[in-house]
Amino acid sequence: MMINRILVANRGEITRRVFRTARRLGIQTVAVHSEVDAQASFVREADISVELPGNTSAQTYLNVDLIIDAARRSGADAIHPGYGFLSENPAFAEAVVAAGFTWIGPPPAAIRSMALKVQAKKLAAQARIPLVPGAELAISATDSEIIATCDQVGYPLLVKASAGGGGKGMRSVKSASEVVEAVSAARREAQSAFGDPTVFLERYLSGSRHIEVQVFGDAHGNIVHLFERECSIQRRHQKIVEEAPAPALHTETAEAMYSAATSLTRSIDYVGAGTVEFLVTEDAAGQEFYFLEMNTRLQVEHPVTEALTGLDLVEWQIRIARGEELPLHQNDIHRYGHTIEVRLYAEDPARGYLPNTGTLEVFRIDPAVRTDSGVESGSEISAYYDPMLAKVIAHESDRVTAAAVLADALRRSSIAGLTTNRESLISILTCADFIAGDTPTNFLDLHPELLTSGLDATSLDRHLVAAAISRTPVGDVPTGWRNVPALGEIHTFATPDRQAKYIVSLTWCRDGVTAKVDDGDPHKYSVIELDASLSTSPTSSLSLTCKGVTHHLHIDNVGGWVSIVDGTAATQWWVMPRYNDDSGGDASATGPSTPVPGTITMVEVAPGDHVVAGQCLVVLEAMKMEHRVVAETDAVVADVLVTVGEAVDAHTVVVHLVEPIGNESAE
Amino acid sequence: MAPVLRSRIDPADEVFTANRDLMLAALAEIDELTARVVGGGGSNDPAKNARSVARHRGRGKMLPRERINGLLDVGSPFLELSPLAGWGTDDPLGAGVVSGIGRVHGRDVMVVANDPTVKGGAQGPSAVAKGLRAMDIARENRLPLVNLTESGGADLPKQAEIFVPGGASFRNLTQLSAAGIPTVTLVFGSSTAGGAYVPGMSDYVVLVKDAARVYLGGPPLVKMAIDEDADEESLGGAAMHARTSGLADYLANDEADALRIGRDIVAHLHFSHPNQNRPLASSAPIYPIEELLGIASADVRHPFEAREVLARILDGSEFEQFKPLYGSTLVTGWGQVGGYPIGVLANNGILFSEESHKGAQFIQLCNRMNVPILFAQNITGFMVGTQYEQGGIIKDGAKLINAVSNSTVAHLTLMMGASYGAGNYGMSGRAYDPRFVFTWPNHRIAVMGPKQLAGVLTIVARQKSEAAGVVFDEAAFAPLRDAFQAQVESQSTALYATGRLWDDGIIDPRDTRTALTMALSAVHNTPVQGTDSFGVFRM
Repeated sequence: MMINRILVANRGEITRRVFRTARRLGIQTVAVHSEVDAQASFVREADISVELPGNTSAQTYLNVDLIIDAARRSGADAIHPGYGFLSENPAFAEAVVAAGFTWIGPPPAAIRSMALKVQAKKLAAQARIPLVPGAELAISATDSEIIATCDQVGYPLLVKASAGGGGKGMRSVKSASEVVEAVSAARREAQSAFGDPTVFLERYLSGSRHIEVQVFGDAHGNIVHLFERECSIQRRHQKIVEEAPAPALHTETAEAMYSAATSLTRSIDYVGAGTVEFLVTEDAAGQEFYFLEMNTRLQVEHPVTEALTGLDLVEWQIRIARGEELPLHQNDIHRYGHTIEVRLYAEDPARGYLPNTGTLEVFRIDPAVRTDSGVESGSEISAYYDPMLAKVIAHESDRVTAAAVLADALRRSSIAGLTTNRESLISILTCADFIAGDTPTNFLDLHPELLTSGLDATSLDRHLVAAAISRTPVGDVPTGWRNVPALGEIHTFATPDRQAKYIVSLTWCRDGVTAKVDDGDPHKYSVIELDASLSTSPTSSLSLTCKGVTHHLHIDNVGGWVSIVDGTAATQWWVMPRYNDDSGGDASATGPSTPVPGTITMVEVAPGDHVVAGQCLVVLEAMKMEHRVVAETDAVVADVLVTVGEAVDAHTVVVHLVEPIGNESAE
Repeated sequence: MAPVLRSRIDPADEVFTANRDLMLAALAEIDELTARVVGGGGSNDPAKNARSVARHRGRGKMLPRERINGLLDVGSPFLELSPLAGWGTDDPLGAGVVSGIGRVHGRDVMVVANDPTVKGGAQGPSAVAKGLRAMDIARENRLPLVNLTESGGADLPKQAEIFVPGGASFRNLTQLSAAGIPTVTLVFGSSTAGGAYVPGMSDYVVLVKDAARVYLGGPPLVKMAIDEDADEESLGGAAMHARTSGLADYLANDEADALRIGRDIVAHLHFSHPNQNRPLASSAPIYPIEELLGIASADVRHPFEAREVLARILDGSEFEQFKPLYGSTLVTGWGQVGGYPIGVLANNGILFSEESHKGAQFIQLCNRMNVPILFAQNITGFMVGTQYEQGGIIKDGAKLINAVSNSTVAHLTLMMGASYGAGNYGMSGRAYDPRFVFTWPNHRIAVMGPKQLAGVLTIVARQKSEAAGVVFDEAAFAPLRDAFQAQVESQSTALYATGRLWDDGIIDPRDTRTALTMALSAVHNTPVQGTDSFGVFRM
């Protein structure tokens, strides 16, 4: 079976990833894309692209009919689903096959058998794989039945969407009082993300690790595993750090897991790439593992296995889809060294991982490591899709070196325009518990300090001073020259989240500049510009000497943002306007407003309602996450300004509240 | 490429180190005076100054140099002019007004800012002179003028000294406008009585809301004159002028907003650089500029080599000498400063007939080439004595003064040492309208050296008594002579000169190149156009 032209029914980095292998194998590429993605790099890199009208996932990347039609019109002969979207949708796989295209994925029946987690668990039990204690939850269950079932499972527990994946439709519950709301929220999210509100319960195994086994099967009955990946460090039930080999996994546990994974895979006549996920616990008696679920697709974190084994998993998928046998026998598959991957997101870990949308002005990841990314400098990050910017992968001879190299690469990367989790990732990779391999799934709950930037005061000052200097053009006479010593020139910068503001005062003199940050002590710096004039080039190098120590900085100045990288730290700054712009803006918004752009999914109040402080007014969905807009104080709803289904910008006032009239109900 | 000057300076030499130490001491004194000016307040009482600055800031207002920073481009240079105007007079040091050249949207502009912490911005004679000088510079170099106004008007106790000459301020404003040189006034506070004509005569007027007050007569005067009870806002508030009288073209929300508007106005002027003689690529001198501190003689009676100075001012220390073997006490030739080609006349001693001939010829050549001229003065005068009088030194000196007077290319004058006698004139002293005059702290200026002047006085006195048949009492005359010499000395210092605006400011020798570059940039806002029309050269 020949494959000449692959359509990737996906977007962003995974589409680029599939294209890369396709091109290497001499296969042409087709992208489908939504309207907002028209300028995205994966579209430009495709040989052929087809626009799917609209922007929501349902209109575009989840639209089976349009995608099949696009494949037909573009002359594709095979479809790769990527991950997420339709990748685990058996109906899509069936439609692809029915339309006569080669489906680069497992057989629809295999997908279906694992699609619903409740059913997958039954299959695992039949294969005699231990399961995490839990319970099913009927859609008709009453509140008291829900609470009773939860009590049986025991706390803490997780509410999970049966059709779920990627942490969507998942809620953790610490006590009975949270149960009802968590279940209804998980159901809503599950319905919205997967079209199926079924949820089930699972005991939360404290201190456990998330370890998964990569498997492959071919149409000739061969099944192999490609070792494990540990993905314990998660936020909001989504993996952000993945590595292999799993640092604390005993060899015998690992072997048992490989064997469990391959036998489960064999039991469903699996063909293609798959991942069997386990939780691993350890106590004095040793390690135990429990089946979680099986993902019938290529995982986001597949590069970890690729780096570790030196294999191209997308190539394997394509070969298997062509009907070939697995390229290697189990005994010929080896692993080398240690690999760590981190997921770089446009989100603010310090503010509940609030996603950030807008223009990514500067994005250059250090070329020393592998980067799988769907974005580049100038990319727009929209509210419609996942805010992942890139996967950054280090492969070294040992774990400690891999962690150091990866942290260093992140530190040497230039990023500006959006808040990212970069600093948090660096903090994780360099913290003692991580280095020691002590990484349970609740790692970030145990280390809240890793959510914020660990930048020291001296580096902060140096970067701010460099940012101010980089904003200063170079002319025919020494910059900022004064024959009469003058008061400092003021530059104001804000952190990307606009939460902190710094004022840098520069006083230029004959042999340098005296700089003061906020009310700190002034320090004298001398400046050497290494390359093109700061005023004419957006990218420049600067050597800054203070007290005899010189730092060499790389600076990008684009679109009102400054990115600074000097090998010891990386920062980005929003350049605040020199003069107040009185044209208005967000500052004029008063009242409860949306934290992010998104779509209103629930309006929980009506005009005339009395609300109390903290009460939810409106729920919106953005990037498949629910965000609640709550009342700040007790108030009366005067007017509701949004409706369900409405797409709203960030900082949109949703409800007009007025002060309650006292004693209205007093008798 | 012109030849590179060779320096023979030994920085370890005793004379060099002594000069440098004295120069640094003089600069320290100037820095101290300048710091007082920058600090604001204007009095000799630091506590009182601090109070007036605090009161000003308490109203949410900026100091004049902060306003200037806010107006100029980020990283713009600012050449402040006559910062120590008023020194040695009973006007406040600095005259309560800041003037200088900076860049707004890349254009050279003249900025004049009142310092309201100094007598409420009231103008004494030095302030009037400084303001008029700024307008002269704006006119000669076609620089847009931006006034940052907040002034109580005339310093009333000195009204007699300023009323008549001060009137020219308003005439000059409208004449600048007539000449097509834009005038912009941002009013931050009071601008009343005569001061109301500053915005009144300007092309563009910006008033700061709730702060600017512009009226001919304030409430007390109105009460006295026509018995009307008027409040400040209806008489001269910013909102009133923006909505009712139409005096304000723009209403600013606050000071920063006014500066933003001021920048926008300059941006839309499209007031272009004539684009001729844009600077060429330039490189710094190959010798350390710091060495200028030790090169210039602290005592102007000791000569120093002018080429050592040029080697630290000219681009790449390159200098093409003209007639090096003829009239060698006047160094002439061509070089560049900051990429601008210039002709240079620099004194290396007394002016003789040859030097006068050479200088006059060189000035004519610069006029043919349309090149500005730098006069580097260290001159004790034209040579005297029978031989030289008979040789026609008057006729020859007249040729030089004729050439200087009628030359139409821009002149820049650097006072790097002595400036005595007619040498001051022949080398384009203040009265010969150079575009800019900058002074080093070691500079001395007088009709002749104090000692010589005292000696001349003694001789004249002796001759007078001898003519009367009286024996001249040398001992009795000595204190008189010494007192006279001391007076001349005190009136010939750089500070005395700068206090009276005989120059455009004392500069640190290390800033010379930058100040000259700024001046040349300003000069080139108008075409450098020489002449072939001179007075009759007496042959």
